[in-house]
Amino acid sequence: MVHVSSAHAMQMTDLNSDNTHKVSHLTNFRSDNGRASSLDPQWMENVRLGTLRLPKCAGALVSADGLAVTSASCLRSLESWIRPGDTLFIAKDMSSEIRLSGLTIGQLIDLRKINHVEEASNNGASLIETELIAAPDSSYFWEYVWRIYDDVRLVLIPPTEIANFGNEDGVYPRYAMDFALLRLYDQDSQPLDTESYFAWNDRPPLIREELFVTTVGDQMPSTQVTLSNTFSYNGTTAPPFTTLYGMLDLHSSHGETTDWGLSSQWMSLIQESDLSAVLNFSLLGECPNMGAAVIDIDMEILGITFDDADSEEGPRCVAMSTSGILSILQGILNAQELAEELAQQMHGGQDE
Amino acid sequence: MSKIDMKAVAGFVLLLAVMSSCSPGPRQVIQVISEPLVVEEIASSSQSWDQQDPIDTLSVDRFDVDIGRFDGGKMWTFDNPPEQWLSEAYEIQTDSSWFAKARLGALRFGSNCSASFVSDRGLILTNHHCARESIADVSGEREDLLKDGFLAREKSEERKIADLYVEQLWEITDVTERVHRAGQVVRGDNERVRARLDKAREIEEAMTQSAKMRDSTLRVEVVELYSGERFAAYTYRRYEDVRLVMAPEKELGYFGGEQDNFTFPRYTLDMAFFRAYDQNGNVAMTPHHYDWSTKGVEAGEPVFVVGNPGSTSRLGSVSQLRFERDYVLKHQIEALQRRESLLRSFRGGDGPGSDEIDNMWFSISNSLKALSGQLKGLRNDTLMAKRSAAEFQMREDLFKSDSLSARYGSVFQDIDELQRSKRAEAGRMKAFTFLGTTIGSRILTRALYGYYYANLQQRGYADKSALDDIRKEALALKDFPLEADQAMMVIRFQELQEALGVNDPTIRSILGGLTIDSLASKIATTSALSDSAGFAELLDTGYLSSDDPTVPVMSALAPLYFTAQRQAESFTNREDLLHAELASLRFALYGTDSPPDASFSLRISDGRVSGYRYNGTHAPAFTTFYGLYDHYYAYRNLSEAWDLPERWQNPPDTFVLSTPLNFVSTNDITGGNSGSPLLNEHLEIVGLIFDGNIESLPNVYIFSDRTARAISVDVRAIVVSLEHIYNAEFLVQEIMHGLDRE
Repeated sequence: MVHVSSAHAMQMTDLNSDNTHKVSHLTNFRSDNGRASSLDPQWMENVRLGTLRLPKCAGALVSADGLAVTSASCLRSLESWIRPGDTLFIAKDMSSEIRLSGLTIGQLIDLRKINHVEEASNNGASLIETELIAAPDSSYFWEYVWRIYDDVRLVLIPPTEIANFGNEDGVYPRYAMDFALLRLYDQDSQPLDTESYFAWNDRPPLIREELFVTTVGDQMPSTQVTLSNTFSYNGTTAPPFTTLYGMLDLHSSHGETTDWGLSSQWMSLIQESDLSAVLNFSLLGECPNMGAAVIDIDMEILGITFDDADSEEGPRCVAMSTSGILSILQGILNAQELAEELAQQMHGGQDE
Repeated sequence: MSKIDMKAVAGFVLLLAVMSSCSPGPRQVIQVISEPLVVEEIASSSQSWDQQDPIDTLSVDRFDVDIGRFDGGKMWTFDNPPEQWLSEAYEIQTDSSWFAKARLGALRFGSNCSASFVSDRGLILTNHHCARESIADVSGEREDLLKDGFLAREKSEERKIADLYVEQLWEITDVTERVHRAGQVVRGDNERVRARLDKAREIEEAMTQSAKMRDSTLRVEVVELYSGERFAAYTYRRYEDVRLVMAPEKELGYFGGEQDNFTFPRYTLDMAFFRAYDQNGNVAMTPHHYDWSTKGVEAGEPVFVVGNPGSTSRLGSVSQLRFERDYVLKHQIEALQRRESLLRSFRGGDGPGSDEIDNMWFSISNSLKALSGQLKGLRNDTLMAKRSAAEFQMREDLFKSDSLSARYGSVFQDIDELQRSKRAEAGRMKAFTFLGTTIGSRILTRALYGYYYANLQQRGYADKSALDDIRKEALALKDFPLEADQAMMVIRFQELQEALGVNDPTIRSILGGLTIDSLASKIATTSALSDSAGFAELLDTGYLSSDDPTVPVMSALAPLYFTAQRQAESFTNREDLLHAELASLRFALYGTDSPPDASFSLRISDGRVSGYRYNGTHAPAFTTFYGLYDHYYAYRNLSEAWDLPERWQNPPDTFVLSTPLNFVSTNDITGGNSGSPLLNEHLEIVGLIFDGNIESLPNVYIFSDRTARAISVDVRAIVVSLEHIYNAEFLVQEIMHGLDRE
């Protein structure tokens, strides 16, 4: 009914440290739940390196072997998207991953302040792009150095039937398996060997947990501080997260022939799995981007953003849970190796 | 008589009944656990009422809206059943035997719910929330049946509920002529009304006498319809031996708790079974019962609610709605918001009395949800435009007839004028909102009881049992944490001072030279009313002659309060008379085309099973047990409201989770309909009404089926739960096949 008070409003903090440029300094990076924290520049750098730029979307690295996660709706909305259409694709091993020609992904490997255009690195290396962004009065510049990956391969994308379950838009509670896995390959066609990835986490967000949505899109690279909280909805309280049970509830209640209908193949696969698996959750405020990683303070990834939703208390950002992705890989898609690749990294974030 | 006297002090009980307009019984609602309750700020309005035309401030013009055929609702009487309409709308051909069957299976359950017979052996189905008190009452020592549920596996295990009865509407006789004739020879409107009512009571007694000669379980009530334009004698068969047969755990019967109250999608097994016994203690034979539908119902099917809706506010004037919107609801919501935010700051502790803080907070939040939903309706310009259009039409129709103009020409003006009188008093009345209730300072409520009780004694009030009742009621007030109570007192004194003015002599007497804070502090630290033992002692030794610091406060405050109460009562009486006039006019113009307002007597309402648009998507017509588990897991770390008992956490493999659990339909229901059967066209029971959705709250002012829905428990959910969770196959056999184990 009433918008949340300003104390709960989202703050935007860019990954650079320009506090004259509608951007606040790293050390001012505050959560809105009373914890006056200042995040260390190393943390910010690591977050930046794990974050990926896709056309109009974001993504995140999630394994030492270049595995990346984004949202399925992002991939399917790409102009270059051809296959596998609306159906499931799942690579049974690395050799069957399919290259997505025309898709390039950027990683912001450096970001620095320079006083003159002449100071720009301009090293001319292949697959490195630099961008200069002038301060409003042109007194200085920000130089963005991107590493470009042009060998991006599709590892897994669920069929539209479940990835876009209900064919809903702008809605939470939501029950969509909206995620996809990609792998970045280096110039030698080897899976990217990287340390800059987010460790997988298999828990839902806590109530009122401070979380960060990280993106390096067309605009300023940013990490938004947000909050996993509940909100007034439909005369009651919105669920902190949704589960596979809810997906089957909608399938059964709306009926097979509707947007919520599952084919018998998927219905039986899902029925056999752990139905309490977490599917979606929502965060305070608008999504800064879709396909963006939702991470906790330990830099572990808890979700992937995939849609904005309206609520009585203002905008919400809807995310697919990484815990749910793991359950789906293991219990529904029988993708044990992928699950292991992700799970291996679990809780590794503390070391970084 | 005692009831009327007690009304002043015990007004809250009545008030609550009005406030929780959708289904009576415990219907408390909270909103959010981890978030502060967010309620729309009430904008203070300084508009002058007298200058406002009832229609000129709406963004929607009354010429742009259609007067709906069923704006006044679809709660049809059995006196005048809607055969024609059912044929027109659903192509269902009905006759008197169809309506007789629909009527005879239905029951009035206790004083505020509905129910039905679902077997030929007196088995009764109603809501868990209607049965709560009964379930608690028959819990033995070391038993908590409300929490754990109950199942009688043998008839001998069924537990009799003291004072519970159910009533079946056996016969209807039109007595309008007889009643009206009694009024014909009388001069004066008030006198005529009185004469009619006297006659109605006389008929009621005579008919009851003669009915009892036939059958001692029969009794007659003369029901006033269309505010006295029609009178009907309803002969009820009353079953006074009612026993509890089955109740699920409260976690199922009230799944989703206060939060999910008034909402859909919903996943609540709000059911309970009782059994009627005859006067000899044998199982009652009930050939008039509903057959159980094994197939259930599908979206789009016509369905019928048969039950006892309480009342609505659909037939008054627009000026009344505006008063309701800008004064009554506004003041109540403001008062509740102040107390809600105060209590919120005291919540979360686990010290003594923290439960009481929670209870009061829940109760306030519940009321806020209901009242805010209603206010939202009244702030909807389309709703107001429709009501304005209907009123305008009625005025036009009225002035087409000279005789009606002569008789009723001033009724709208009179009602408008009464609203002006009410507005003139509203500022003062505001200070007493919720005074002497269970919401607010316990000490001040006790003091008011003490004052009232002592005064009745001093005046030699003769009715000993009424005095005892008041004493009992007063002592039932539980102790409240002192710090919170003191803060509540401060709020009340501030409200009084604001309403009456700093220099008002009453305020000065109340404060006795102290500041509000120090007075509240003095009372909190020295009054004996802070605990029930001290209160009991003062009641017996004479509260008024004690030196308790609340005595001077009450001696100043209470007379003003009771004067205000009397003023309010006189407004109500006048309004009732004008309402009767308005109803007469409506009846003269439109006859029985539209049903009379609800009156907690048996009605039938038609509708269809149907989902609706909600939350940016579609709410399905049905929910399933899958959703129950979705909620159980999703809210586990947030609130206990969606917890499940152990045997539900791991249901057997035979339990089919896709079984429909709750569903919605477009039937017109209101408070009192809880426990009503929902029937298909063959009069088989397909659902059990237990609530309305949040969109249905404004239906108290105008009936709409756009997104407002009635919510039922699906009979298929009842069956699979009995079979697979409760191992009560014998009950399923009884309701499905009429087979009895004996």
